[in-house]
Amino acid sequence: MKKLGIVLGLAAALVLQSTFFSLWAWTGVKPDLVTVIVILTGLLHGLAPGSLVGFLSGLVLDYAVGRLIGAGAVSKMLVGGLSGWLAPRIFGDHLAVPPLVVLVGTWLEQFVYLLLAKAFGSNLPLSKGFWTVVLPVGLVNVVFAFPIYYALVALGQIPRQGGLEG
Amino acid sequence: MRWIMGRWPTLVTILAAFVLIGLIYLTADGRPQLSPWERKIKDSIAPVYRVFSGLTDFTNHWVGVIRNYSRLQKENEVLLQEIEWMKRRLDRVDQLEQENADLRAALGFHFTRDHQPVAAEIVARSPSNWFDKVVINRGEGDGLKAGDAVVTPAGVVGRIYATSNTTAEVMLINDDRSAFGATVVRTGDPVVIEGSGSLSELRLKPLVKEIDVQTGDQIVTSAMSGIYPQGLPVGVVTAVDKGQYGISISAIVVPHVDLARIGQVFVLK
Repeated sequence: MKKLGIVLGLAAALVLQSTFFSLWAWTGVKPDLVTVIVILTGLLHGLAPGSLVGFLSGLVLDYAVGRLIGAGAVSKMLVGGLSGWLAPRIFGDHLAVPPLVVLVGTWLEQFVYLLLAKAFGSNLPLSKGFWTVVLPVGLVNVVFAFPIYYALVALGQIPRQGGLEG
Repeated sequence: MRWIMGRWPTLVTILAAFVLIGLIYLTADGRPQLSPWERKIKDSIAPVYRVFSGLTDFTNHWVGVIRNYSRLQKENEVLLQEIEWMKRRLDRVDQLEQENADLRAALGFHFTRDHQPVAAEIVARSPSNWFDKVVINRGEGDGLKAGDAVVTPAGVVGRIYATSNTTAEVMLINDDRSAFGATVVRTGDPVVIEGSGSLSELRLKPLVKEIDVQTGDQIVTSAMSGIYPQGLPVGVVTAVDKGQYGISISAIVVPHVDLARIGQVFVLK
């Protein structure tokens, strides 16, 4: 049930990012709901599930984008794993943890993706990309941190203590 | 053998890393050719996109109606008057068109329309914030193919990059891989318009050593573009950079089409 819920959530996130949020974007930036789910999966389930969900969802997202297939898989696997690794080391029940981890995790994920894109010859401007995409996406993602966190918690009565399963 | 068996997790990780690096490298510039099963996947996902896209349009429409009701009422009155005026102009244009055709026939010119427009709706966009593209609800089944120009009445949008039977992916003019020939309307100077990766900006680069380009200049497609028909509006120059010694001119062009908000397009096949 938990696994199916996460898969369905990721599929819905992908479709919403491709349709609804393309028109309802803030300063031209849409939320990266897939990254929010990856980070919170890591936070709730631990390092291995976070990395696996990050890798697979990143690969699917890369395929939908059609370029640099694997770059998103690496960046999302990294933040999913890192979030899972951090979970037992931070106070998982504190109200500030999910939005804070989503904020920092999104910034890291987007920045790693930008660096990978640059490394593989993309013309994306580094400093402009940082200010116009990396920072705003992190802020937009924070808005979705609580709804997605509690949806994941509700899914199959997942324990609230972050990372204890991992 | 024992050495390998003892270290298989490390070896598998290294192998996977190499495969992944290879995959990123090979797909860095996109994949215009889709395999048959990929085309089937894209065709089967299209209805899901259409449903969500329809819901988005519906929401967008009604939120817009509620927000702008009084302004729309006033705008409607002005537009009705404009329609009347345009109708009269259109009658005059019909007359001139007929006159033009008669004169061309008298001179022995053959007017052929090279491109047939096909109306299409945008059903999805790239899920990424980094690389934008749009997916339209027309594909090979409608006679579209890679390279066909995509436009709106306001100007150039992009070109078809990959197709399935019922959908096509459009590379927008702001894509960092996009480049095409254009002309500065005021001077006729040939230039290249490149995508910058940003939705609101294109880069202009000169095709000849000395060009005259100023802020406010209109840019249109040229016959040399190889992709778009001649004379389609592209954008307006908003900033000119003459370089350190005034010899390496480049400029910023803001596209006429609001690439973030387009809903309907025409494909010129």
